[in-house]
Amino acid sequence: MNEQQNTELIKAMYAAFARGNVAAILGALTEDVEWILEGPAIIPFSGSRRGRAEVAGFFEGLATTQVNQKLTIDTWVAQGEVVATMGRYAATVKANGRSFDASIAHFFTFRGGKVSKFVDFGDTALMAETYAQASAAAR
Amino acid sequence: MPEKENVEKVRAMYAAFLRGDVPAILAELADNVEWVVYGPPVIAYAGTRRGPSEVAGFFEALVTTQENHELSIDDYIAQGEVVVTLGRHAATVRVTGKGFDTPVAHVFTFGDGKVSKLADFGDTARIAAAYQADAALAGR
Repeated sequence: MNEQQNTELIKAMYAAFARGNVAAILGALTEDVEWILEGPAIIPFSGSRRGRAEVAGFFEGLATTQVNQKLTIDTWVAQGEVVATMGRYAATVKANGRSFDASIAHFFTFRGGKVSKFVDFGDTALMAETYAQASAAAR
Repeated sequence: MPEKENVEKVRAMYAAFLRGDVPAILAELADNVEWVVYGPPVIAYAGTRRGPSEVAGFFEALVTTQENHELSIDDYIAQGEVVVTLGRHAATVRVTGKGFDTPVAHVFTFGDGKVSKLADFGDTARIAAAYQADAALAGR
């Protein structure tokens, strides 16, 4: 069973995310990776993506529209080729200065030692509302 | 390791849900169970509840505000005292007549053979939209 190895790889991916090294994350994905966050289009990183180039767009959607990103993971569940994590994700939307702090769940499916599928859950209503708000300075 | 036993309990709870047997679900919960459904208050069953009697209110809110429920669970991931499930939940909100189809993730934490915590994740924006009347949306 690869649970330990897969969990270590996800830890390394989160560490890469925390230091802004997207290339290191993309290197851990299969060529045909599926990357899914179901949510409304106002969330710039929502939608279904396939392949590393499209996943790069997910991280670009995060990096270009948010600051003060903070991801904390408190629960790890690994079985077979799946690693599930739970925690919180907080950030401030650059355009309006508004912040959110949402509970999140991530599901990583492995194939041949690489991530072949990622499914992202968050409170999309909270995130969408934060993106839709008027600028804090304008109020 | 408790994984197999816990997964069987979760499967039995889903089966009870599908046949509308809420007491069978409540009987699997710890007295101080924490039941957390993420999402805004417009979603009738969202919020944090504690204890089986408050959780009964969650199921009542589901049943009284929705119809045409479809819940399908595709994956069970279990390690230690945690069972995580992945699937989809579709339903129609009675008062608006609007349907939704959302991915769901449920995180069950066990203690002493009972569920001590549930966390429910979904595309809360989509569910909230189904609970909102069109006029309310237009006014936003």
